[in-house]
Amino acid sequence: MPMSIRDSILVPIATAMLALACSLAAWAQSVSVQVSSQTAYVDEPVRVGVTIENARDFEGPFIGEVDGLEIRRLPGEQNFSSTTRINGRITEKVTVGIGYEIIPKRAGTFVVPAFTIQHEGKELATKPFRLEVTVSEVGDLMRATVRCNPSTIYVGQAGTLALEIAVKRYRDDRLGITLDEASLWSLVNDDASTWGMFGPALQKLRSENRRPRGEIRMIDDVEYVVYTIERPFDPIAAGPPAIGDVRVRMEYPLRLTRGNDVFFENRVSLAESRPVSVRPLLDDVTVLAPPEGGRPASWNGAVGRFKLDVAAKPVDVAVGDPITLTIRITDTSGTAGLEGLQAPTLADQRTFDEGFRVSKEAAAGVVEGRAKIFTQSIRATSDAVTTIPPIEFSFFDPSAGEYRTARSEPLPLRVRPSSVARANIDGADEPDSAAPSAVASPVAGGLVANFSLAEIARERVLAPLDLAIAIVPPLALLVWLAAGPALLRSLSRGDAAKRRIREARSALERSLESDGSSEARERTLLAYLAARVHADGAGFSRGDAIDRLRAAGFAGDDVARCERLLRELERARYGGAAPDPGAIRELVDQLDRTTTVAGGAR
Amino acid sequence: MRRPATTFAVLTALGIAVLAIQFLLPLIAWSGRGKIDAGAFDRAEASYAAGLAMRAERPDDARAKFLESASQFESLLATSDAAGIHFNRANALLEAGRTSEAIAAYLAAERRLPGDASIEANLAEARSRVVRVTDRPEPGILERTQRLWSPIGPATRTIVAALLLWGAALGAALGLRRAVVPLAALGLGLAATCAVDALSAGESTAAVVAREAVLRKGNGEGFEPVLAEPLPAGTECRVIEARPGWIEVRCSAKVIGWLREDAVIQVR
Repeated sequence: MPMSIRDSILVPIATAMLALACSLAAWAQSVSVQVSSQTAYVDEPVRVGVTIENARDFEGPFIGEVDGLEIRRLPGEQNFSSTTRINGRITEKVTVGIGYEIIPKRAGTFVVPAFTIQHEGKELATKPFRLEVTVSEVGDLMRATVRCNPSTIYVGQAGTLALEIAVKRYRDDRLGITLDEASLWSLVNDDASTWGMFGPALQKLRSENRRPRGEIRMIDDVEYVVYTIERPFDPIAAGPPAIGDVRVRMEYPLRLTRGNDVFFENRVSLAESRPVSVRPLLDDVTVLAPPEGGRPASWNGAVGRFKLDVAAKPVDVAVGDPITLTIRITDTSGTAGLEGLQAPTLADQRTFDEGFRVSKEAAAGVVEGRAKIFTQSIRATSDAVTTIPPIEFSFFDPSAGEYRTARSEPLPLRVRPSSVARANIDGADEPDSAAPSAVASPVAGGLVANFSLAEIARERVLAPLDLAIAIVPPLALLVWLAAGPALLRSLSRGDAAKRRIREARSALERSLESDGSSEARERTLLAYLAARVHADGAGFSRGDAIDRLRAAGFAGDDVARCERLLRELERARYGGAAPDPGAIRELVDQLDRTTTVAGGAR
Repeated sequence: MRRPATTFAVLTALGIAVLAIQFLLPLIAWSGRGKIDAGAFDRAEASYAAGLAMRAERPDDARAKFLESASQFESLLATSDAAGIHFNRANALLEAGRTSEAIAAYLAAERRLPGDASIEANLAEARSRVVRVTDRPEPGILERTQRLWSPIGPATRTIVAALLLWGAALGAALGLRRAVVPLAALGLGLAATCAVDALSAGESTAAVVAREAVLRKGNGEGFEPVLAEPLPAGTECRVIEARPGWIEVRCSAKVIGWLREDAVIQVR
């Protein structure tokens, strides 16, 4: 249907206004707030989202403090952007989402003030909202306790801390269903809970697709499912253990319902629930410091019950030679913290004062099962030493409540006098005991200093190419000088032989082409054959030629043909028929084509 | 036609001229290769010195400094493969408590500068910090043979070998046949030692266990362990064979087994 003139004017104007309105809406800055719930329980966090639209560079959000509410910003922010094209006009919308958590600290009605932002000198604000807070009546629905095994533990001892979460078993009488332990655990709100020092243990369970084990236990005649999360405990200070911020939150069921899910399977689901949260109580966990009374001077923090084994290697040494002691400290109590266990300090043990030089540095140790192994070097300073004295290791035995000392067995040792000459300052034969010793006393251990840049620069790094470049030229020259003259001579000889054959062949051709006598033809053929087998031409007879051709490896037919031709030429001298020159050429061509042992050069 | 004697004289003269120029190439090559960035070297040294200064009072900070120094020395290896850089890096690693990596770096330095007293002393110190559950593997025949000539560095041997061969060539040119054979034999012998070193340089079989690892009877976690205890970090061994993800090693004459590839540092 054709448009009227009025329509043809109004439609474009309306379209333009609509596009303008859309673009203005797209570019309008705004800030809004979304609240997960306007009712909350004390200590239950309420999630709040602040959304800022179309304000790229803003300051804030800001919010004033509210007595009774703890408002904290959650880490991170979410950014969204979208681009719209209307009638060729591109508009972009930018949205920033920032999360907050409001934790009521007491019951009451609160007004949460506006969140404000500053954008290009203007202040934008959300609307304030109300929050009704009541006390969560957890009652006996859930309780949490932290227990320690052993319950009394000493600093330096190793134990186990267990977070026990007891959830009252839920039974829906209407449906006749009692939730099992897996279903109850699924209602624990992982995200809203904080796990303190038990976080890593729980994380490990999750990574293995497991959950804390739950067992049914009667507490005050009520049936509970008790979930236990354990972690090793190695206290470093006396007093109550610092378990961190632990708060367990869950949706405790109030009513279940039965219905079909999207796959039309009949399922039981949660119809109504209430959030409950608890902080765990420390159940008589005592971390004690080992008593100061009766503490041996050599005690260095070991707590537990230990066995000490020492091995020495080598045991036949010269004065000053290093002897490696391997000290194995085995925990027989099963409760000692081995990671922090330190080696006995030999330098502080009087038995090592005389006859041994001992490093004052603590030996490094390696944990192996329930034992820790230390290695330490000592050096005998006198050949009078015959044993490595017992090593003492003091520890606090928590089961007996007193300090004890373990001693190793003395180890036999043979020390030979040192071969190092003792320099006497006075030059006298006998050392003067009053004079200071001039014998250097090496200190075991320690590192030699780094290489300097100059030292490294002097260091030549050899690559295979360097070797080739350095060695090949003189080697090649040497080979050339040694073998060159002989090679040249050989080449020269080869050239002369070839030349001689060519010349003999030419002479033979000339005699065959001219009406030369049979004698001339015989002579030139023999000269050719002599050149061919590198023989002296003077006195070279038919017999010589046949012998040398055979020796040179020419074919038997060729040799026989040669002998027949030579005989015919010989007879022709005395009036016989001369052989056909073509037959002689054919023979010579055949001999030229043949490569033999002696006649390689043609 | 040119006489053979003339040809020989001309070729010899030409050869001497060309080869004499080539003789200078090694020196040119050595002087131009492996330049170390002095600034980067000084920074690595400064980090090491700072670590030493704070070692007693602030061990954690000192450790960080030593690791920084080790990293800086490692970056210098991109331009120079000198034993000294490996050695300095090893010192920093050892001070930082990374004993296994330090031993591997000391072994790398020892391969490049055999018989150096500083390297041997610090390698011994590093080894003293490792608990060995097996004997150390015996060196192979090639390694034992190489130790015979290792006190003289390969560069020195190469230069001496070249000089001896030039001397033999001169003797041959002058007709001093009695001198040629011993000079040539000695020169070729020295050159052969260098060739053996150069050819075996890329075929190190030394390795160090990087972290405590179970030595197994086959190349998989399903195989039984060879030893009841895991091999401690820092245990030195020799690589026999490599298969994807696993390496067969010899820890001593009788202890042979497989370790995960990521548990072993191969000495390069």
